[in-house]
Amino acid sequence: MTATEQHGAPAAFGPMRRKEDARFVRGRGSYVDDIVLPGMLHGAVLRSPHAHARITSIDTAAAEAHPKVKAVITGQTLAGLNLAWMPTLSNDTQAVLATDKVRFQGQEVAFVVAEDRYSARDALELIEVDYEALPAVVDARRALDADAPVIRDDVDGRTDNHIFDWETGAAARTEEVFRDAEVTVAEDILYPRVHPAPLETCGAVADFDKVTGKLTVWETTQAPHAHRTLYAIVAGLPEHKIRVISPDIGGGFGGKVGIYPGYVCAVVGSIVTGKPVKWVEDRSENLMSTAFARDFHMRGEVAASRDGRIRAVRVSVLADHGAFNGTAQPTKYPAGFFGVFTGSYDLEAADCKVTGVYTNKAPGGVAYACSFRITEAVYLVERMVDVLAYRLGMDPAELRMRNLLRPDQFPYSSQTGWVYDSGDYQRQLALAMELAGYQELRAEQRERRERGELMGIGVSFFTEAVGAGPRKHMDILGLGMADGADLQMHPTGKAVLRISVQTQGQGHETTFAQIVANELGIPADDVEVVHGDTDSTPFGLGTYGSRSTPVSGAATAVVARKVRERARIVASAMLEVSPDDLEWDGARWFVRGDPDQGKTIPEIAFAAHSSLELPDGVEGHLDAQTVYNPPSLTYPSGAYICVVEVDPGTGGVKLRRLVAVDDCGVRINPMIVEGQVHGGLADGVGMALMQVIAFDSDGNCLGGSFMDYLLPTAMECPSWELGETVTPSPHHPIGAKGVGESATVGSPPAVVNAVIDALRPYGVRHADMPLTPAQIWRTIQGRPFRTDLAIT
Amino acid sequence: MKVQLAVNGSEVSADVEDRLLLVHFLRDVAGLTATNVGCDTTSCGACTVLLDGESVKSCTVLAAQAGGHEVTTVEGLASDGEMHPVQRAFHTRHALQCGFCTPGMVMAIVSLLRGEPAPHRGAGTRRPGRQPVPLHGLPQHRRGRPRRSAGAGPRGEGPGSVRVIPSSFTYRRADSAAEALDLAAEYGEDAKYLAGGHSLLPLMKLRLAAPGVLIDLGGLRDLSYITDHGPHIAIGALTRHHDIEHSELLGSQLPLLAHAAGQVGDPQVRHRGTIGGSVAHADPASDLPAVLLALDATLVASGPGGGREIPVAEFFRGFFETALEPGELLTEIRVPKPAPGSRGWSFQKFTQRAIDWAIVGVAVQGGNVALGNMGPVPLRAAAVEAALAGGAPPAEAAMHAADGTSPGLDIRASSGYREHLARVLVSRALAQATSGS
Ligand SMILES: Cc1cc2nc3c(=O)[nH]c(=O)nc-3n(C[C@H](O)[C@H](O)[C@H](O)COP(=O)(O)OP(=O)(O)OC[C@H]3O[C@@H](n4cnc5c(N)ncnc54)[C@H](O)[C@@H]3O)c2cc1C
Ligand code: FES
Repeated sequence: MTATEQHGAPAAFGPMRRKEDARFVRGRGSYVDDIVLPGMLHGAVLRSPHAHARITSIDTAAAEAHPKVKAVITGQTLAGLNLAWMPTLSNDTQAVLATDKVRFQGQEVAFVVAEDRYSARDALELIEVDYEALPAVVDARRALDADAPVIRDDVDGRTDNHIFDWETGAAARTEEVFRDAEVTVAEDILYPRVHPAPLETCGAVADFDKVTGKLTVWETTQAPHAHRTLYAIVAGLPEHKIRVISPDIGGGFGGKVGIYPGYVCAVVGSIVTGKPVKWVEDRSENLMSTAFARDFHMRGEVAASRDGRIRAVRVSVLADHGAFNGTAQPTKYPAGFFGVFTGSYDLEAADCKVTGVYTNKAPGGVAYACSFRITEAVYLVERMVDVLAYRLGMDPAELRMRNLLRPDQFPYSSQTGWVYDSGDYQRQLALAMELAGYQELRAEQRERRERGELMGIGVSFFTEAVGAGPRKHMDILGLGMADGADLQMHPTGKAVLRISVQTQGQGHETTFAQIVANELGIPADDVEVVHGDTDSTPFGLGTYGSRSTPVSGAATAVVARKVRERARIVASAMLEVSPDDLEWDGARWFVRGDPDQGKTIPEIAFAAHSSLELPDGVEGHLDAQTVYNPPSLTYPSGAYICVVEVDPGTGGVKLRRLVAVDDCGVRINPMIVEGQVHGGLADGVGMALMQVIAFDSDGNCLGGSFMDYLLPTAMECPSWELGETVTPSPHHPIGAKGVGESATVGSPPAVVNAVIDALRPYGVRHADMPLTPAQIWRTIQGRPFRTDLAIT
Repeated sequence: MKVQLAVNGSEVSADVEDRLLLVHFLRDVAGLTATNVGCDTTSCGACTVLLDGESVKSCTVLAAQAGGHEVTTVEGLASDGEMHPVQRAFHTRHALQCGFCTPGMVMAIVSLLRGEPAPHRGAGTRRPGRQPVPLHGLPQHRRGRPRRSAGAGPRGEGPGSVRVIPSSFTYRRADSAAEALDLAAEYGEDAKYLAGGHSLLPLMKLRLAAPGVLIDLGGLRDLSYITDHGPHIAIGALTRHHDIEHSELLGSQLPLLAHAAGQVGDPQVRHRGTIGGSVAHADPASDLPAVLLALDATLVASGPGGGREIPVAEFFRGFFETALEPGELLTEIRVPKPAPGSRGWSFQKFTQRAIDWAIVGVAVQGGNVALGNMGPVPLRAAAVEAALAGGAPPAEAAMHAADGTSPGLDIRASSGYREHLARVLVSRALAQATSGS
């Protein structure tokens, strides 16, 4: 589709091969571990084998005597620099290297710097640490027991493991609705701890130049600018002397938002040795110590009428935040955007209470493509709707259809205060049902049930709130969640766009070039996108929470429009008319009423650098800058339908189909959008069926490698079936809503609902993820496991 | 030691540590950084390269093992800047996102399209970049510490502390069986044979094994064969799973073995792992030991005192323990051809993902029934066989499948679930074997 084919249609939007792929398919990407600097040393972290223990002594003498070791850093060394503890993204503190106690298995205890990576790891074995083991808090549901060991005794006066209580909605009103409701249902629902597990683990190369005083850090980070500011605050280094570079990143999924002790150690290592220091964690370190996700123990309740009108939803949540409260989320939202648990439905009332607790597990949280806890909220409400359908004996698709918000209700203010921008939910669900052949599937299911076969059909409908966010309400550690964009136009009409977000695989270099191309009527290939280097990009908070297109994409459109307006002024001088007499046709400024008289952006750009006498308002060049502070969030939605077969003998699940109809507003590059959905669907399948970070009673992590923490492969995934509806966001400059996490949010409930539906002949109403064969076998017998604990 | 190999058509040679992994040789010595490490446990395939044209995981091959061979990385795939058709397909079909594991995926698919007759799903399947090319690691949780994952261990092998690289050792390559035996005699208890390395190297990378000397058997091509001896078929101990899977002779005479070999791990594992290594390693969850039990195979070993034959029923002694004496070399596996009337077979491997180890495995040949992962050693299901011999219908006999077993519990399954699976799978296997004979 081009502009000339259809009036007003965006010229540069449409499937376009990704620019970045030309290097990636040739293996020419440059990731952190690919960085090699002259004289570079290698770091390795010694970690705690215990979940909870007091450190009685650390002896580093043998490690220091290793001929290739250059430095051994402990918590004591860091304490001397006032760096043993660092602030977390939730205004808590976290140990960089443990000084007093270790509080989770895999916690950082010491850092070795050596000449090569093998020696650094060898030297770890030479460090003697004596621990006095303490009882561990493993089960979040016991964390507040009176006799529970106090994990954070480093904080003065702390006598329990309580972090916060948070409430939203209206308790009294909700209680009223529940009291007079014809039907109520309740269910305990666990969204167990999972891990983003990007294929590239975390790592950093730190290079401190003693002469210039400049620190350069290459890092696996989704938020380079925020990291620079934090280094300045934490280490007391002047911010203008810090450069953070996020080169090609091998997947992030939220796991690369925070600052990890390893990064700080690499920086300290470089300062101490005067040499560049590289640190790259291995997969076990990644799974055991970097930001986990979920770990929400929820109790959901729904009040409804007998004919299937959903009236109110009430939730109470116990949130396991691990040993340090390090969740990455806007300050005022300790439970993220869980407030959207009211789902896509028009309710009379809603109420929610969340309590956060410390346990002896890795810190972090909220990571993993969750749009700040929306994953948990959607899972809760979509599971509860199925529980209600079960109770009412009603078809779950029909029940949803009856309760979905109608198009005329937008903008819609939810019972918890979220303002949904736009949507056409019934049409979206109807399309998914049509693509799936829903009625035929139900007919097939009836037939097969009669033959004793277990076939299940699962439906989920979700609305996300993404694009954080309006700086008035949203900040992380005081930094408002806005993003900048600079657009530079070369005399020949080629453009360089500098953005504050950066790709971890989402294709920014292509999508953002298309946005500029669309605004300026130039080919996307003529736009170079610069990102990931704090020395050459404007400030902004980075890529996570599906915020790049909603925030930075908007900044890009706005800055391109500024360039276009400057071009108008220059064009007016070229054409010797008033700017008001010029009209934009998608590729040119032309004289109103005389379409032959017009100038393209390249022509105007050259003129802006030429000897042409420039009118007021343009001093030269067309370059512009902007910062985009989103007026509100955007609300992508999705209707997903999953079909499974369960083997009643083994409990094995065969995923037969997954239909996903997403509405992310305007699609800039539909090919990239579909790729995002494909990846997210696979993620969701993994969480629904095979992934969990569980712990045994001593606090040993049971998911610490890819031998135990299973990622689905192509063999476990069906060929995805996608559809789309488009309801542009009314307040976004190009109507886009964001799609990076949609499928990860929407697919787990669809898959779980399908499996539970398959188990209906056994009277099963709920079982917790992951629905492994062992869990299904036990569920059939009416005694499902606690999936967050070791199997007994 | 000096290692020389041909990388993308150029000779690269360097003096390196004996323990250097091929992936680090490529990245740090040859400066070819396209090949990335994603998991460290042979699980993800991000590090896949071609070794003599076949896909292997370069994190689980020693640079020394690759010495004298040809290695191709994704950097060597495009000729004159022209993309290989697989690269082009990845580009045009948007089959990647972050690009980190893309080189491994591309190389795995290049190998698959060259080598395997019929890939189930190849380059044409659109899979965005996040999923690794399938494969799997060691069932670490079964290594005597059922409660612990690979992440946990006693002090010194603490979580994440050293699990990437083996501790130092001396590498020796044997050029003949006799030389292997001599080297074993020379180094004694401190030495271990290295065949495909796909059980031993993962253990060494976790530092759960730390032999001082590795005697590489990889050069013993004379121990890689499949020959017909009339009543039995002889298989050299160094024969790889891949060759067993694709052997026409085995496909027609011992289809159970050929089929089961094709179920081991993933293509990269099957390009390296050997039948001898699999048997000598004696992991009860392995596929081939149970199959060989069901087939009444005989194992041939040679040691300082000469050769001997060991019936497979006497071979597995305990968890990772066999009848082999220290230094004894497994040279051949002899498998009798099933008698007419016993030709029905079935292999039931229950896994969560296609590439995983069996949660429980069952091999049936005629009236012989063997179980994998139902105790510290692979077992014959004696009670089932007795019931069948006594005339019980298969479904009834299968109810005895867990009798006399002692399955462990781990993060995938409780003992009770394993017992249940054994009954279900034996019942299915018997039904299939009966219908097929
Ligand atoms: C990711 C992954 C997935 C796997 N999945 C499966 C699976 O699904 N099913 C399965 O059955 N297996 C699986 N395996 C194991 C694989 O089959 C191994 O290759 C095999 O078990 C060992 O063979 P190897 O040649 O690699 O032996 P090596 O690792 O070289 O050696 C293993 C042990 O045997 C000894 N040894 C080897 N050869 C001899 C010999 N000729 N004489 C005496 N001793 C010898 C060695 O000293 C060592 O102790 C998997 C392995 C990996 C890494
Ligand atoms: S790094 Fe994952 S298989 Fe080699």
